[in-house]
Amino acid sequence: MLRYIVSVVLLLSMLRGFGQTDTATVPPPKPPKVKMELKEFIPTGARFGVDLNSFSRNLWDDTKSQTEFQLDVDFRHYFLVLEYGTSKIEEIEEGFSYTNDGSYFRIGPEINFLYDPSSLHAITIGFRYATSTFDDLLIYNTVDAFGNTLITASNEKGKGQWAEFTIGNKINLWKGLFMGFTLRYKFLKSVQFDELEPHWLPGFGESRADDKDQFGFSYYLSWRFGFRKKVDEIENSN
Amino acid sequence: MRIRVWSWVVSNLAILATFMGFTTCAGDESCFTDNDTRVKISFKRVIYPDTDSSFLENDTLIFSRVTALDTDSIFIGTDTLSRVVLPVNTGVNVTVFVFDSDQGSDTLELRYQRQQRLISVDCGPEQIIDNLEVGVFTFDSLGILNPSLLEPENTNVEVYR
Repeated sequence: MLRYIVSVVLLLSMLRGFGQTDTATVPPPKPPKVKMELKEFIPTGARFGVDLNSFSRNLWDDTKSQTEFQLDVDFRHYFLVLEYGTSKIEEIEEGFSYTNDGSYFRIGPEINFLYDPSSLHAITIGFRYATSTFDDLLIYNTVDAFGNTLITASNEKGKGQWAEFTIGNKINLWKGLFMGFTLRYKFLKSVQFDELEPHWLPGFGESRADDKDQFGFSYYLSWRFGFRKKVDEIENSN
Repeated sequence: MRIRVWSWVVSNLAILATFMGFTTCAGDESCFTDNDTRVKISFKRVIYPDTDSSFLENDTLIFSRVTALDTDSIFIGTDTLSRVVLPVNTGVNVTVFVFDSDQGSDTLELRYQRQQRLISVDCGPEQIIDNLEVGVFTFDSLGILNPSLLEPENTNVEVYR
């Protein structure tokens, strides 16, 4: 239930962001109907970012470490987004230990609803296909009528895949510097495993067979490398 | 479209703080689980009221001892029962039970698959016993009713006489 409350809060926060346009000083011009040309879809730059949410968690949670990077390329008001991350868990508790080491990769499109050739800000809705591979190991001791038994179960090269709906934003702070969040709804999870049901799926989070969906949150600090001027800039310079 | 960048930044940082607070508090969960690692065995007698029909009724056995190989534990001592609940050996994939009763001494080999999982870091691990199969046995006949031990109420094996 908490997840749903938080997701509503996040959505409301986004709407608040929408309300921050300075309409008093700049009346919204009615855009003339212009036929889109193919050259408008040629990418103008790539943005490379690191997830601060994973990074900050590494500071206070000594059992989990995660690193995530995001790369996006623009095609007019679309982005192609690639994300790669690694995660490692070492839970050593009284009576058991669980370790999980793996990596994940996501790819998918985003639509920028704030597209404006004169601005690099973005509010996006997107989709991802995600896949991850991992090794994990659970060791614990049972004491029952048959005596004291050490149970060891593991997955080598376990695999998982899922899909995500995303909403987010990218704010141009200064020159090529951006920050923004991506809120994820992760669903359609499927996991291949042997004798150990994985407790953690890298990139997805906690993963139990009866717990299908998850929410996720990334907060990226990124830098945009422009490799081509925008179409209107090219035309203005001519 | 001009945007007040710093207003956005503050909003975003508030969202980040909210989410981090949420993930910190998200660990409240119940450790309750229905999972069971005991096999439930019922004894039935086939009754033939006439040559065309039959029905099952509970068969009450007078046990002197029920135990298993690889353990000194006696699961059931002297007792009169038509249903027994017995723990399987969670360290291996097979358990052989020995039933000493007024019907004689019988053995039943049960094979199964074990799957491990961590309920949560706070609750610890648990084992799921599934895909129950019958190996060697000395009873007249028997059948698997439910191959999963997950449900504590369901009978897994019925033994017929």
